[in-house]
This record gives sequence, structure tokens and C-alpha cells, in this order.
Amino acid sequence: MVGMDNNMFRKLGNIFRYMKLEKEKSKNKKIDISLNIDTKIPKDINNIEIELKKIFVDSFDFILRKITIGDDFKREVIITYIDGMINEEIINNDVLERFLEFDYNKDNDEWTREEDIIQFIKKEIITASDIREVKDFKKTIESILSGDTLMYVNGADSALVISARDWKERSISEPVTESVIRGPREGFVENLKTNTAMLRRKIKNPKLKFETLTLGVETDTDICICYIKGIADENIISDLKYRLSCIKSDSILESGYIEQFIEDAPFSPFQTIGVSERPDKVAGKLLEGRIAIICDGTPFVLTLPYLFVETLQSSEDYYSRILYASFNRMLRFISFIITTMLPALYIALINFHTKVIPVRLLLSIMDSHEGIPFDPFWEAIFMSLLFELLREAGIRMPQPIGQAISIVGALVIGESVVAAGLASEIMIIIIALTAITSFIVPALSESLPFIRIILMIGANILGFMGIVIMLAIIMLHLSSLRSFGVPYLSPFSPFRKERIEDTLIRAPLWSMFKSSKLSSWKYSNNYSDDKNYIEKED
Amino acid sequence: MLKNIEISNKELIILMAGFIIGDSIIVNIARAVKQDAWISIIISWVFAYVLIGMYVYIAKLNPNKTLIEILIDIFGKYIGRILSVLYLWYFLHLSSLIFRSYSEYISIVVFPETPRIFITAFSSVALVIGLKYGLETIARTSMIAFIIPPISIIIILLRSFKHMDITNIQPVLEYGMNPILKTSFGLLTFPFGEAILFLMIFTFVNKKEKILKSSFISITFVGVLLIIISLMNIMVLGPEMINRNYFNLHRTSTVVPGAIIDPFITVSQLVLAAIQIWICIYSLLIGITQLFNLNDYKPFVIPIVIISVSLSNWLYNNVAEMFRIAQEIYPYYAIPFQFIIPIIILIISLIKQKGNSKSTST
Repeated sequence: MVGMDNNMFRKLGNIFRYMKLEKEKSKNKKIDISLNIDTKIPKDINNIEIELKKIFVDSFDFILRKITIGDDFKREVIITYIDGMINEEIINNDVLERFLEFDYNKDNDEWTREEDIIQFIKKEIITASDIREVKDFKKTIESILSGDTLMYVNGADSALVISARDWKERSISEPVTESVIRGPREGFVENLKTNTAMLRRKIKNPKLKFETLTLGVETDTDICICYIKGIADENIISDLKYRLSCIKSDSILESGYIEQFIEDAPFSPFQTIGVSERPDKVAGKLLEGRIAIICDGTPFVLTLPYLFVETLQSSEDYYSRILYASFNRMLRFISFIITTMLPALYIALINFHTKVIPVRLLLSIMDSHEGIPFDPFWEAIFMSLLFELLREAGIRMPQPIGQAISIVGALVIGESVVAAGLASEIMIIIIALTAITSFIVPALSESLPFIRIILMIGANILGFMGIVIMLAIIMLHLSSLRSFGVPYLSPFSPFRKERIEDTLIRAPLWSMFKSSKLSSWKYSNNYSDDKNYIEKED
Repeated sequence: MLKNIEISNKELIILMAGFIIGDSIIVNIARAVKQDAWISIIISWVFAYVLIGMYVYIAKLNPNKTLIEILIDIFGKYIGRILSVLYLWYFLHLSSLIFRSYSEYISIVVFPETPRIFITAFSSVALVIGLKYGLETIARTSMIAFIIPPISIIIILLRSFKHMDITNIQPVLEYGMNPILKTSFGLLTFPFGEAILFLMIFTFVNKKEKILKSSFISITFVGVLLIIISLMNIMVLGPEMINRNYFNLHRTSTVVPGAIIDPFITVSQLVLAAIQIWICIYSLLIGITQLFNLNDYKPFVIPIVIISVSLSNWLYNNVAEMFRIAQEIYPYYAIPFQFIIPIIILIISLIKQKGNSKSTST
């Protein structure tokens, strides 16, 4: 028998993978641009210079400075860095100037000896704080590229890495994607170290671990896995590391690349890895036992495992008082239901269940619907397509033209479509409500159009019953999803008593945050990967 | 050997309750005894504890084995396999009965002009997807969806409170005890005795020592719910209406003026029927893989569902026939599957266990 996969999306993924494999087979040529460099550092400084100039040919931002130092015994030293990535002040004051001022006659013995020269320079001459010794020539090239300053010394078998990275970056500002009324006004920036520092400032605990690795064959992007040891589940950490090690990509330009490589269900409309720009939110998730992945070059930090309830949560819920926070949670849940179900319910009501509507309302609906040449279904599809178009246009447009979009959207579409008899007023109201409520649950905005259209198709086929059947299919899909082994619908089903208090309502903080509960990420009985198969009887 | 599928005891409670309630939520299962229906429900309820306790005991005597494995174990290769095939037929038949009953309900009450086969076929899409995902997903989905039936019952109860007439349950025992006992026997076979299917499911439960407790919780829940529905129907509709009407709960909800609560019943009926069909066909699929030593059940999902749907269309000519067969023939048809074979299994496995304990002690 064919061992079929449980997940139908995975099956689709296998087809894609197969196609990719075939493509690779047919090509079977990989452009090898990885550097072909000796691992040993040449002893002769001239060789080093030739090698470096060969590697960095045609790169104007590569700076190589060769100086000769020493009083009686001269020694040649090369200092290289990439222009614009270092703090030249540190190099001038703590390296170059020190070399010039140093009294070589005093320690002439050590200055002339070749074995300890690097140690000597490190200990006695340079005063820069962050210095490393590297013996691998290839690694020195990588360090230069990532912004370190390299110092090669004639006769030494190792080189010194002086970390004086400094480049222009965006200052910390309020995140645009997740704005709050109450809460910190800082957001992550593009620099990895600033981001880790922001997290460290929030959680002053040695248990907070930052493990770094580099991904991307050609971009060598720095990735950082953060978690709190003891709270985060070891199984999930090792699973994550395994998945990250499987990434064989040329480039990682944004955390979205990583997300798509490691997520559980790539073909599902629901995301199984969370994204946030807020340090306080990520810190909160770390404290709940989740793991964060920070990618250099982007302010968007991934958090995992990501569950369905998190789409309804906001960091502000924990800062505002219980009643208001719980009310907001409910509001978000209700708006999720409205934004997915409203067009479908309307189609079902108009097409199948007119007797459910009170007579007066029915009359006014029918009145507005009269003379419309389309089915309610096609009307709804048409109008939601229009809305999606406007939404996308609003994002892509340059800011100054954005005004025009709103005028066109509001006046032309809103007024004229009704006046022209292409859509009924009720339909406009419904799509507008759908749009507004969809902005309340931005975390789900990727999956909303799909759910909406599936439900609309169901409603058009069999009315309420069709909606129920389509809902059942969506529910089945949701309950089959797992994010790193944790069931996606987790606090609801499988039911977790200890987690349910932070879902549709937000229980008081004093009842929620007890230290014992923080480490409750262990799903002992339902934790495991795919288990739905039957083994053959021997 | 079945491995790696686990459902929790809570999910077992939900699945069992949903399975047993099933279509008895809309169909008046004790129509024949009119106003004494609640008495016969109570009687059969009490016996259901014994019956399902026996099933659980069988599962306990044969740990980690499904019904098919138990049958082959106890009756030997040939008779065991013949009995297994009979059971598989029973599962298939049961699933098509459920297909038929809920699609009848929907085609009579909700969509009178839609062909019944279309309703069945369309709803089986969701069922097929559920079966492909497997038991864990089915259990988790049921866990969430099972909120709907009790809530709809409560809503109907509150709405119809004003229209209840306590005198409708009088005269008690109008026709004597005999018809009541006869109806209780029918009730024991349907819905309670159908829990025999859970002998296929018990092996997947993660805390096996608590199966008895979970089963009894679900029987208690089912019994209470059925008695509430029955009493509500009797008090709102009166004995004559009950006997004349096929779908009592629907009638009760329509008697109440004002808001329309009918969709709630339809939705809860869909949920319960889905749980029932899932359990039936899942047991059938597991049975097939075990009987023929296969790896995977998934290739069979679509064929089995298609067979079940088509069978549901052939079974009866009309709804009246369906109710006559369900009341008069089905109880006797179910006797071997629900009572005789399990009792034989129980006796033989008890004897075997004694033999085993003796041989180990000596």
C-alpha cells in the first residue's frame, strides 16, 4: 500500500519538491562562486597582500593599508576593512596611534620573536577592547565582509580580528505594523545586536540564551535563536535546530525566508509561525516558553510555536485592565467571525433561508436587491475582489498618491456601483463591515480571504448547511495543523485547563503568572510529530 | 498492531456521547409508548451501564486489541475472520443508516426540493477529509463542535418553557409495563448498544485505566440529555402529536412562536451525525486494515464512503419504511452483534484469563 501522508498540503509539497528535484537533475550544474581559498594564512606579508587584492578585486569599498612599524627591527603590518562598516576612530586611536607611540626598544626581544608576536601585539600594544585571534584565512575574509577590521602581521601564522563595527542604521522607532495606545514605543531595528540587546534589557536573566548561526550560502546572514533555558521545550529547540540545518538556500534576506523554509504547513492558509516587531511582545512570548528567531537585516522577529489563539492576542491586552482587555479579546473574536462569515451568511439568507429574516428587513433587503443583474454570490465575490484590489493598491501606492485611491475607492466604487445598479446597498454595507472587522485581526489577514471565499462557496451551494460543512472542513484542517508538534488549536482542543484563561478572555495577571505555569509548554500526551499511520502487523 | 494514534479521555467522552446521542436527538426513539417514553429511556439507560460496562470489561480483558483482533484471537482464524467480516458489514450498514436518517431529516425539514443524494454527497466531502486526517483530528474537531448540541437543546428548552404542560405525561403507564419494556429493549440496541463500535476505538485512548469512568460519564450525559429531550417533547406536544410525528424535536421547536431555532437543531444534528459516521467508518477502515494485514487505511476512505452513501440510498424506499424497520426489525438484527457475540467473547476471555493465571502461578 502507498503510505499516504496525513496532510493533503504536504502531498502537494511533495509534488513541488519532486519537480524541483527533477529540475536540478536536468540542470546538474551549480555555479560555484564560493571562495577557493587556502585555510592557512601565508607567512609572507606580500603573499597575503596579493591574495587579498585578488579576492577583493573590483571592490572599491575594500581598504587595505600596509604600514611598517618598529624602531630597529621593522615589521610590516596590513590593516584591512570595508569602508563604511567600521568606526575609524577606534582604529585610529586604539590601533594605529598605539603602534606609532609604542616603545619597541624596551621589549625588543619579544618584538623580534615570531611565535608570540600576535600575543604580544594583543597584550601590549593594541588597546581596542574586542579582539580575537583567527588562524583560518577563510574566516578572516568572512570577518572582513561582516564588518570587522583585520590585522595581518608579517611572520605570524594567525591574524587579529578587531571588532570595531559601526555603520549607519535606522534608529529605534515605534513599529508601524503593531501600534498600541499603551505600551513601549520601541520596535526592533535591522541590526541583530541592537535587537538582542533590546530583549536582554527586558529579560535580565542569564537563562536567556542567544544562539547564533549563519544561513544562506552566498549571503551568510546571521541568525539568532533566542529562548529561555528551562522554560522553552528542549524538543522544540532541537526540532527547530534540525529544520534550520536543513535550509540549503543561497540567500536569506528577511526572516520570511526562514519562516517559509521551516514552517509546518506551507500550503495552509494559516500561518504556523508568528511574526512581531515589538520587543515587549517577543519578550512575553519568550517567557511563555516560546522560541524567537532574529534575523539580521530585518526588524521582523519570528516566534514559534505559534497557535491560533495568538492571532487574537495583543501585547496591549496585558497592559490594560482585566475587563477592558477581556472585552477587546471578545471583540476581536467576534470580528473574526463577522469578517469570515458575514458575506456567506448573507448569501445563504438571501438564496435559501428567507423565512429566517424578519419580514420588514426582508422587504428592505429585497428592495435594494431588485434590479441587480447578479446573484448575491457573484455580487459578493465582485465586491470583495474590489476591496482586495483597493487594499493592495493602498499598500503599493506611493504615499502622495494614496489620497487618490481613497477618493476613487469611496466615491467611485461606493457611490457609482450602487447608482449603476451593479451591486446592492446592503452588499456594500456587508463588504464594508467585513473590511473593517478584518483590520481588527491583522494577524489573520493572510488567511481571511481564503476562509471567506470557501464559506461563500458553501453558502451558495447549500445555504446554512453548506456553511456548516465548509466550517467543518476548516475546523478539521485547523485541528490537524501542528506548529512544531504543538496542536494549532491547542488550549481549546486538545483542551488545556491551565491555558484556557488567556484565550477568549484575559484572566487577571495575578492569577495567570505563576512560575509553575510558565514551564507548561510540555505537551506530554499529545506532543509528537505525525502519528496518524498504522504500522503493519508482523 | 495499531500504533501512535492517541486520543485523550476527554475526547473519548465527547466522541462516545456524540456517537450515542447521534440521531436520537431528532428521532423520537420511544415513539411507540407515547407519554411513557421517558420511563423506557430510564430503564434502558440503567441497562446501558451494564452493557457498556461489559464492552469496557472485554477491552480490559484483551488489552491493546481491537474488536477484530479479539475475534480472531478468541474464535480462531476462520470463524474469527467470518465474524469479523460480519462486524465490518454491521459497521458499514450502521454508517449508511446514519447517512440515511440525517439526510432524510434535512431533505424533509430544511431542503424539501433538494435531492437527498446531493445532500449526502456534499456533506460526505467533509467526512472524507476528516477520515483522511485521522482519528486525532476527528476527536479534536468533535471536541469543539460538540458545544453546539447541548447549547441548542438548552436554547430550545428555555424557549419552550412557557408551552409545557405537565399534565401531558399523564396517565402514567397507560398501556402497562409490557410495551415499555419492549421499547426499552429497542432503545438498548439503538442508541446505547451501538457503543460496541468503541471496542475498535478503546485501544487509542491514552489512559486506558480510566476508560470505564469516561464511558460512564458519557452515558450519564447522554441519558440526562435524552430524558430532557423526551420530557420536553411530551410536555410540549402531548402524547398524540408525539406518536404522529417523526421528528419530534423539530416539531417542538416550531410550535414555539417567535425566533426560529430550527437551524440550531439542524446544525447539532449534522455535528452528531458526523461524529457517528466518522466513528463507524473509521472502525470499518481500521477493521479492514487489520483483517487483511494492510499498512494504511487511507486508500479505502473514498471507496468506503461512496459505498456507504450509495447503500444509504438503496436501504429504504421512504421515511415511513425507515422508521418501521428501525423500530421493528433493527433490534432483532442487532442482537447478535451487540449481545450474543460480546457475551461469548466475555465468557471465553474470562476462561482464558483464568487458564493463563493458573498456568503462570504453577
